Amino acid sequence: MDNNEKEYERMVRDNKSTIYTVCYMFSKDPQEVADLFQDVLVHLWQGFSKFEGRSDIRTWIYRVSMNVCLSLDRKKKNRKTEPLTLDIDPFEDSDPNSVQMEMLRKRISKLDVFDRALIMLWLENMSYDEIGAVMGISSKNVGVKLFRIKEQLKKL
Amino acid sequence: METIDNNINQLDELEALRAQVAEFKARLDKQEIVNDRLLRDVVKGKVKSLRKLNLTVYILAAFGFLVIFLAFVIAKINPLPAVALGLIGVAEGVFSFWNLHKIAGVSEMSVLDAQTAMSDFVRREKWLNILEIPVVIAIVYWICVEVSGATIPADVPEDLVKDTFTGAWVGAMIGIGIVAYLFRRQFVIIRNIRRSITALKSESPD
Repeated sequence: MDNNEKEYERMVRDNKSTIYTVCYMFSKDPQEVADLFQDVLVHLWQGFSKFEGRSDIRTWIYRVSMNVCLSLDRKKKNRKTEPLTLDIDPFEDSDPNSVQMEMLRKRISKLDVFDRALIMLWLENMSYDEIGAVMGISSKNVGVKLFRIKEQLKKL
Repeated sequence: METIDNNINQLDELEALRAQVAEFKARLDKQEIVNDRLLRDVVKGKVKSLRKLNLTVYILAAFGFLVIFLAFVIAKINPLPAVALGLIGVAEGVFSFWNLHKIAGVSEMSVLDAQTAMSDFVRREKWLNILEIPVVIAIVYWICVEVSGATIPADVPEDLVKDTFTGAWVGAMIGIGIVAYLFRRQFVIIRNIRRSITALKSESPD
């Protein structure tokens, strides 16, 4: 295993919860989460050797994860997906945190896809500048949009 | 006073949502989640990404074209429509390759740029299909004309030939109807995405 592969594996293991959370928020069931997770890993690997560190790695991971999850041509794939080795099943678990996360996911799923992406990044404690860098809009715009989305979310 | 209390409660609720996500991620951090085999398969390229040229389809199409072409030559039927069909296939392959090239590295773009590039990609693909379908229908009609002009063996009943052609055309019309419906739905999705992109780019509250 070369250094690049080792670095990639370390990056995935360090950020697995972030990648999983994004996939979970944009999925309907565990199978879809596993599909998206695998797809995100492929895109991260394909871009990893070209990643020059011009932006923060966290921002880059969010960009790739979000873009894969929001991809317009998401289709049912006729390929094998490696199951995720996870004891938590946020879709079915009776654990209070899983139940709350599932309620949150259902609430967020009622939002427009871009609004969903924005609020997700806000929930991840990212600054307006970081959110703007991931989304490709100004931080001022992030503030305006988030205000409206939060109002909308409170009513859901 | 009640409104201020409500606002404070709602703000607390949003902060609580953040805490939930943080707790969820902390639980995930304690898990293995991704197995070694998946990571190994990804780095060894055994797991491919979705958006790749479907080589199998192109190989099958090339093989199909060759079979039709040879059948025409053997049956002494004008092979030009088969050649035209083959050229359409090649043109589509070249266009698809160029279209895919335009979205290379899309996953690393900002979300809005990526979604704009993706909706452009899908829109171009759909327009290609829309322009291609009438041409393909015309060529298929041409093939039918050439085939019907050929000598049909005497032992084939005339009714069977007529029924086959009628069935083929009814099937084609139903197929075109379904494709038109699917295209319309996809165009509506693309239009909505583009509207959302425009709304998100605008800085004024919408």
